Amino acid sequence: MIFDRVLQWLPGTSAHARRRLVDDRLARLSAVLGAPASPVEDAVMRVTLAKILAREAGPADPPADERGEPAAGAARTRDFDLEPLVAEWARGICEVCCVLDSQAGLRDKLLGFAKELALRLLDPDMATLAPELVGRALAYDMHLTTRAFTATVRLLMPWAEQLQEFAGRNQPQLRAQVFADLSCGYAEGLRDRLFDEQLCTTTALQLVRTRRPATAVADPAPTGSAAPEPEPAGSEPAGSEPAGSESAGTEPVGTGLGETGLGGTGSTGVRQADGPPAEGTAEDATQRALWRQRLLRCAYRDEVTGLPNQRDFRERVTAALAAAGVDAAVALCAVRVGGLVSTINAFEPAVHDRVVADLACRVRGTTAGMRGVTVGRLDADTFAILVTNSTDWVSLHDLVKRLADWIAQPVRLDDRELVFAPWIGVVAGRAGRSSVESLLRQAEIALASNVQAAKQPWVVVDPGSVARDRQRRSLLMALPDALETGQVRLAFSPIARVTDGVIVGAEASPWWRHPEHGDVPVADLVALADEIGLTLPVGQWIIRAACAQAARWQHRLGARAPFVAVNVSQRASDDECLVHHVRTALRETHAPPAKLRLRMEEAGLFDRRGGWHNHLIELTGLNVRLEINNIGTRYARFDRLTSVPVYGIVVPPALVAKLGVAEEGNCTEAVAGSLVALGLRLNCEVTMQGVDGPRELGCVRQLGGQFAQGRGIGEPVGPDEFEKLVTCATGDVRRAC
Amino acid sequence: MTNARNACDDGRPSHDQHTDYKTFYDKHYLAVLRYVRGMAPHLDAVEITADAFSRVWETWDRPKGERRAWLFAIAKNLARSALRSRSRDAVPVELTDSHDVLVAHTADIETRQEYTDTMRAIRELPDHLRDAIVLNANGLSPQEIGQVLGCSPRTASSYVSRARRLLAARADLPTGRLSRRRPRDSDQANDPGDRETRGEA
Repeated sequence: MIFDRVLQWLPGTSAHARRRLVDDRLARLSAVLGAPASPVEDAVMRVTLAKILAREAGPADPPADERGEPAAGAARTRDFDLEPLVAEWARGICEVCCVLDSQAGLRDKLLGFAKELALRLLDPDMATLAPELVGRALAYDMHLTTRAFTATVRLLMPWAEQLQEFAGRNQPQLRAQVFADLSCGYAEGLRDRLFDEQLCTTTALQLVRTRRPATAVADPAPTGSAAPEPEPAGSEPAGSEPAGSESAGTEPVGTGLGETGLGGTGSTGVRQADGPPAEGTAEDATQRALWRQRLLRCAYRDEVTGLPNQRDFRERVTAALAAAGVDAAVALCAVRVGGLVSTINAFEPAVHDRVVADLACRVRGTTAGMRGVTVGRLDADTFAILVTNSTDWVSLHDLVKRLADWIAQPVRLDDRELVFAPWIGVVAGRAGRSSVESLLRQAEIALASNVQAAKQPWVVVDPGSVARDRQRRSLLMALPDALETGQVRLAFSPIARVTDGVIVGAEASPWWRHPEHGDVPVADLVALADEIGLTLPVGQWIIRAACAQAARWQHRLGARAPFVAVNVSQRASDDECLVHHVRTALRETHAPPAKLRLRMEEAGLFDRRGGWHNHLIELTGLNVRLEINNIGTRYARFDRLTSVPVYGIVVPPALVAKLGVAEEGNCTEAVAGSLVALGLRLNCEVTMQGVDGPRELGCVRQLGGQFAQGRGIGEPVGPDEFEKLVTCATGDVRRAC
Repeated sequence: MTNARNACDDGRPSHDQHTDYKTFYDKHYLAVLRYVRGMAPHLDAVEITADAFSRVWETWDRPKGERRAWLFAIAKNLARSALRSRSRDAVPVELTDSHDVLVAHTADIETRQEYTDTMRAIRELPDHLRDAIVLNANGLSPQEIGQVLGCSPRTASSYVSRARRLLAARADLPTGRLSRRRPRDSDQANDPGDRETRGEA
């Protein structure tokens, strides 16, 4: 022993090495334990301190047994003797109602309920069983009659007052809330019990009707005895009142159905020896109940997923906010499954339902084990999760990560896999200061900003962005009127040939001269409309205005007339009406088709299977030239480019702006150079945007780009000024080039 | 909720008490939280820690010995009692392993593995030694450990050193550090072991 101890201090021995190893590991463990707090831990720490200081008015006299007690509320509950109450309660119930349980069992149950109610009255945070559930258990499980429930409330009311006085906190509102919840739960439990019993009876009676002709021969007893013993048919017991008295003139109807109880209605499933059973009323009531249940389900449940729909979710959120307390922190997590609607519309409805139900299961599964969580389906592709339990705030980040991971997993259909992108927006608020509407609106904005950023796993919105978003949406709604009243004009950005500096084209961009907000770029509004699924007549208007301008320039400038490039949104390029709009515009304005260039996103050129949109082939047949806009900035498949009759590609400003900068420029230059080379090899015209000065222009020329566009070439101007630029003022550009 | 000592006339705690308590809370919250998480990863450590601090706040003007040791003792007892009554409770709030909480996800795999190994070895120790070594790793002095465990400081330091010796005896030395020769297959059949594995110098 001593030898070992000595050995561990002698360098070179294995005992010494082990001691050093353990010291090392323990030191690192200490470092881990003493690591600085993460932001989540820090937040939890602040909230906990505020709770502690708010809960207790100050240092108080300690309880008798300091260590190991569960909580202060529980201690107070334990001090208050519940046994007399339970004894009196049980006696009161037994006096007016037939109880199915034994005395001891009844007392145990009532003791459990009394404890929970006491906790709810003294320290609602500690209670685990809601008063609604207690009321429901009294009605549904214990079959308490209304008289027994009245006796219960009469007994519990003064007791609750005494209890709160004993604990030194008289809160009539809390008492009223508890008893309201209790009564509500009792009423619901009673209704459900009656419906279930009626359903059970109807099933039994229908079976009776189907079996009636065969009762004499088709029901052999399993034991072979001549008189089969009747057994209860339904899973539900007979009810609080004993089943109707069977007179001497009755006989069981069929095996296994003779004593079907109808506790709620008082009738029985036995047949008079000389008359038919009374079936009509029970069947009708059940049909009504079923119809009502179906109606409620349709009104409050999402048909496909079984989750609460938007209406039900709103009501649940309202209730949860009211129950959470004024300063309780709440979070609403909105999850949009990107591409769900457009993807599943391609399949038949059954497949569509399967995919949505699968995704709903994943969303619901992410909240497993969390308390105070409400999940609902807000929209075709949007789910929402409300978290009200402050302890689960710790795991909110984990929840978001789980959501992102689980939804991004492919959904397997029979022979294919679908992959969806989750967009998640999180809104934080205080229960007293937030409403359902504000939470949902902010969640929508968070989703939109997340879609735009597309980098963050989740986004928390600030009030400023809410105001900005509201303003954008009001502008969006007023846009169609502005188009009609002529407040929207086209501005043209010059596009110059790099080799000689001649202005050969113009990119048309609509601007809204708003009386209050000044000049508003309409492209942003169009993008927003695309995002929220609004179809605006803006695209059609732009194409028509651009064609008119191109025809005018062709008439005035002849061979020097520039082409007009129009940006087409992805939604518009997916639309088959695009061909019709273009054809109509060309015919009515007499514009030369070769002077019109449509710039589309690469994703807008192809359909879901990777094939060309047929209507785009028609467009090229009109001699309208197509260009791929913003190449290299989104997910792109270059293997499909070889099959596309694209006339040109447009390299976006993000890649051009950093050209020529010492450190970042090298990588950008490699990417931009590759794209230019790709375009040239495919016999495309290459336009480079974002040329803001001589530095970028020099780099564009070096890389081999053919056309340049940007502030270095010219700012967007009106059509008349642009005409002057083309006819006489090209000197600056030429010098620059 | 009455209190006369070191408090304002209306029974509320004084400003100084608040300030002292906040300082104490900021200093020790994380340590207690991680101690409870290490002890029982599947319990709601935040709630237990809050409860422990709440108890300390209730007796703030009547400290029972060293406050930090008192705090750890309450946390330990609360966690023990929650462990005992776990079967009666509802679903635990969070089923996270302690290393997921304590070691950042960005930490390299070796760090996580080492932490897991260390914690596993510590969990295999007898209860009193485990408590002593974990409290020691949390920076408690032998006096404080003695107060938490209900023994003398001398016994506490003896626990710590015994725990260290046990850990050292059970530690697996990394291969290649001392064993310069990799044993051949033929050696393994007859050789009782290398010198290091027999504990010889």
